[in-house]
Amino acid sequence: MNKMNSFIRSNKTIIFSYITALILFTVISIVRPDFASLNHIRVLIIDSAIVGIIALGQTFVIITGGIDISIPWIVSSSAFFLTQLSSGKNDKLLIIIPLILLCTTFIGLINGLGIAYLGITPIIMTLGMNSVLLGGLLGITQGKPGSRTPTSIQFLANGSIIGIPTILILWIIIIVVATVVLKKTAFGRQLYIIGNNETVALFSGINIRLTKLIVYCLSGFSGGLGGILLAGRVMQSYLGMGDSFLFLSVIVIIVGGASILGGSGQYIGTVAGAFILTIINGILPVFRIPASAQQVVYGVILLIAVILTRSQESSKI
Amino acid sequence: MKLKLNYLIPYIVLFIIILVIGFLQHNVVNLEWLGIKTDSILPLAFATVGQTLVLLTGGIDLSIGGIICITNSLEAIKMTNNPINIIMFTIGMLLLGLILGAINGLIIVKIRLQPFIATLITWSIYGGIALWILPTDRGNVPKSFISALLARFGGIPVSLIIILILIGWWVYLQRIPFGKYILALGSNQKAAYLSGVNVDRIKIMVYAMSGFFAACAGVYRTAQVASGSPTAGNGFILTTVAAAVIGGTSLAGGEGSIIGSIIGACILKLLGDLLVFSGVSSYWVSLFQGLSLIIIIAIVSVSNLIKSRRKIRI
Repeated sequence: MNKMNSFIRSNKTIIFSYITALILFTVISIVRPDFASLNHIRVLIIDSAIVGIIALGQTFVIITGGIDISIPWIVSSSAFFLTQLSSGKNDKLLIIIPLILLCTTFIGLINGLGIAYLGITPIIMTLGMNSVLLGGLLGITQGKPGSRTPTSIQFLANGSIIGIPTILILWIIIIVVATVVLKKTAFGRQLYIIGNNETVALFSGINIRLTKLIVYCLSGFSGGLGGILLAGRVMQSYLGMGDSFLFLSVIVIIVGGASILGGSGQYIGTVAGAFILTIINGILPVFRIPASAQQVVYGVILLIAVILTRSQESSKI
Repeated sequence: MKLKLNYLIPYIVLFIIILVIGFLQHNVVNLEWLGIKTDSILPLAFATVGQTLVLLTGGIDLSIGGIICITNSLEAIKMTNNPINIIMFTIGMLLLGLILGAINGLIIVKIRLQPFIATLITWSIYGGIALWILPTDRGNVPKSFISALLARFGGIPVSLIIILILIGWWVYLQRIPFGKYILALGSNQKAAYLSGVNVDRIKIMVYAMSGFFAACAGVYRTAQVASGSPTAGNGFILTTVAAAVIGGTSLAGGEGSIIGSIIGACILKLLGDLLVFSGVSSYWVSLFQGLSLIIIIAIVSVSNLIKSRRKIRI
């Protein structure tokens, strides 16, 4: 019983996020019964999984007190090169996918080098990188959209094995690995110390620079993986398909209970955030809110979430 | 003495670029060319002036992208050809920018959010509102509005006059307490607070001014492009920061000047022109802008690292 209490106390924000997701889902299902249909739940899970996977690296980055806003064009680049290099066929995917993931990880490496070793502010470094990728991709494509996604990737994103969406299986593996890394490994614990107090981290003998470098590499990797899955989901690639993830990849983490200042948060919270945001995206049309207002809603949610996660911090002290 | 030399670098770079352009395009560098260039530089110069004020206090304003989008969209679709309507509407837009900027300042000061996260939030909101107003690029801009802003007085372009006014304003600003408070805030906020500076009020004013200048950029862009775009402002976020940094403004705050920032904006625009002139497709321009920002900041960071190491050795 005591253990249960301490579990609830230490995971208050995350439990709160899951309850919010559940309440949102129930309320909308009452208003709109087809929202809770098995088919629609499947769509919700697929969309949440893509957002959640893209936000994997960002979660680690935000825990260390950084931010990665080069995500949108990492996602777009990865999706574009997947469709372009494979030209819609399955045969070369075993080479192409590792190649793309290697490249996006390398982009993360450059971000990390600038931030950790040259001391450039994360927001400036990743803003610059975002612009570099945007210009590079526009230059290469001359503004033309990409081609169709190979069918096996489409299956990975949209298909299912014995009724379970394939992407959900992938996501569950990622959730388990990410949670174990954050909670049980020295590397994971170091992230929180860096996010809380870099001076303390330095004097505890943590290699801050290397840890930050790895975190930004991971963000590049998960952005690349998310881009591949997104291309599978929409069955093609086009320029700017990752644009909405600039805000989305940050919001889901803050809604999941992490502080934007770093030092707190868990991947399992990001998962809840991904569900909440996907459900909200689903309700906008129900209330006849135009799709263009989506960004306004994102901003308001982010503001509320930042204020809520922050006030919890001050009450901790 | 060494410090003085650092400040000269942007001017030297700009001079070299103009020399190169003059060398490549004979008979092109004249008053007419100057007018065309100042017209194209002015929106960036406006936005950079606002961004520089914010950077000087040690903050950053990402929301200018959204403010430029809103003002540009509204001007492009809501104005009629009546002169009084045009003037009132334009003043209204500038006030709107001022208010939206002040909201940034209020969020930062009252809710105590970091500037980058507060303006990230408002960028999302303002950008969304712009998309709501104008879903795609279009517009019906009155001819008289365009000709007024792109006019020439005896060959001297309006845009050049505005740039000179901005420079004069900065020289004046440095002499009054408000300008000194901005720099004091950026160098050491605590010290500024302890010496009796109303830190919160200065911050709100600076963000309001940044919003105002972003609105100026949005309004001028409407005349320049003769159309509205709900997303065109987003490109300004990176370029304003890059222009300010090229002009010698420190991202840590407390150091820099608006004159330098305007020079930085000129360098960035003219280098882009050179790039296109040398046959590179304009699609690559963002790549070049992003790279120049990263490289310059990397150089500044490395030189700071070397300096601090030297200090430790002594």
